[in-house]
Amino acid sequence: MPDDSPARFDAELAAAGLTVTGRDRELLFAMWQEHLPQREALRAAAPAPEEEPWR
Amino acid sequence: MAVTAGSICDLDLGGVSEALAARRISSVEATEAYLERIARHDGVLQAYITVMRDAALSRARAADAEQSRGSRRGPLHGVPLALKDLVAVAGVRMTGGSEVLADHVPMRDAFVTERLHAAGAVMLGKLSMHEWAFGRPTREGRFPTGRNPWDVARIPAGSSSGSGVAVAAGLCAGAIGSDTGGSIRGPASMCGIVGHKPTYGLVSRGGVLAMDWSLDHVGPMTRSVWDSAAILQAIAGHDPADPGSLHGPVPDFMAGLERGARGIRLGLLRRYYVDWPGLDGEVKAAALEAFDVLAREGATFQDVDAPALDMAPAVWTCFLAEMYEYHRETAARSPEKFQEGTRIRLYMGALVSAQDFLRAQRLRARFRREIDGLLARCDALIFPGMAAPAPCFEEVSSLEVMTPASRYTSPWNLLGLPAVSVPSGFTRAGLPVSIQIVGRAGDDATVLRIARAYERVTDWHRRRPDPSLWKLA
Repeated sequence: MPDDSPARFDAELAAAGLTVTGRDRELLFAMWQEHLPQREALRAAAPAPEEEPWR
Repeated sequence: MAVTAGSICDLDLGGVSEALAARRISSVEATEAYLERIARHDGVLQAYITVMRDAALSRARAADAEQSRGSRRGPLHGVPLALKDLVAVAGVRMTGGSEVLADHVPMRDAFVTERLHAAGAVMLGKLSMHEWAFGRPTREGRFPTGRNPWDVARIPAGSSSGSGVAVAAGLCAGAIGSDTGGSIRGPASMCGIVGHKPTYGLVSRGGVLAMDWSLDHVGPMTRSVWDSAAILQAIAGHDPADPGSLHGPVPDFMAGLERGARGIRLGLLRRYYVDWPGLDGEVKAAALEAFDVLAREGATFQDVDAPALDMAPAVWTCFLAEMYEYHRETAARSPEKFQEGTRIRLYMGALVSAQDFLRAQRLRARFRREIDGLLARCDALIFPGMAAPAPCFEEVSSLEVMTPASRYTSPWNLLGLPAVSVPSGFTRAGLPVSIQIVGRAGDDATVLRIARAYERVTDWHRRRPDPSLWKLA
């Protein structure tokens, strides 16, 4: 399966309105990619309906 | 006991306080002794960003004068302390360890500073730290973060790195740190001292630079549990300037300290912490021995678990969004003023979506429900303080969102629970290790009592690093 992570990264940068170039962009992509499994686990956690956000 | 200017820096805060109260030494003599030690050793240890020599001596003279008139304000009267360089002192540069604030001079004291002054304490200076409390250790540049006094080739951990170094090395009698994911408990553990992250809101964040509003805690770092309780007693209390500040009377943190561990029910988070494959073998062995000590002192243990712990580090990282929100204008205007690793982590905060943030908040609520359930049948939770002893500078990456080992500390910021790190031994290489005790919200007194119950039958907290080894290779 083709790696779609560069495209997803670009989309997240655009959504955040963040312009990062050069070495910073490379480092951010590496950090983002390394963190992706945690982010995916968070999204897959499926809280119960009664689990409301912390207040 | 005879106390000389030369030996005062080997004492804990309680010892300094006792010597001052008994007039075996004056506050000016004690302050001069610390200043002399700072001048001699801080070139290597790098604990201080700013030494407030004149102001410290002025306050020491005032403390002595007051005591000579028969008035002593309490245990901190005349005691030389120091502040992480994100706690404001009026008229004194406060950098946050960053070029961004390199020339920033606050006009007002932080609430904590006011409280310590009111208690008669003497401020020796402002302590080094990781940039904005989320940078990484460095020996270079304008704001080095400090070297570990047990081995100067190693980091002291952070972000309250200078606080850990200064207390362990006797460059102050006690210090203030802040903790957003482990920044008090990490350096306490790796420097062999006590670090207490109080209940969220117990100590005001007023006048303290923010990292993550909902996770930031301000607390004491000291050589003994009594010392931490004494500082906490002085700095706890409501501050209208801090929206998260708790209302109500401040508990007495000193009264129950010597009640021991008998009858205390401890929940051991075995699966997540003790059995974690990343836990260093020597840290684990020392922690298990410490748990045995507490059992012999009358505490009972039961293994407990909270499945939501597995998600806690992922939840914590969503709070990078708070950090980005705080810094976004500066990051856009002057990104070059942040260290590279700090800047990249800031950008990570911009990539946390609203949906991810809310998911994190829902899981945070689940975590709270699970832990509330455990603390309904246990008086406190216990586990090793950190995953490993202090690493060498070269072993630390500046480009991680968070280290895997932060699982030992960061979950407890999410819930705002009181957590104390207590020395529990040394590795064969002579590096300190610790245990950590977490209690119910508002029950800092029990956490400190358990820590003291352990401390009073062990001597790890009395060991001091060897100044003759504070040399660069």
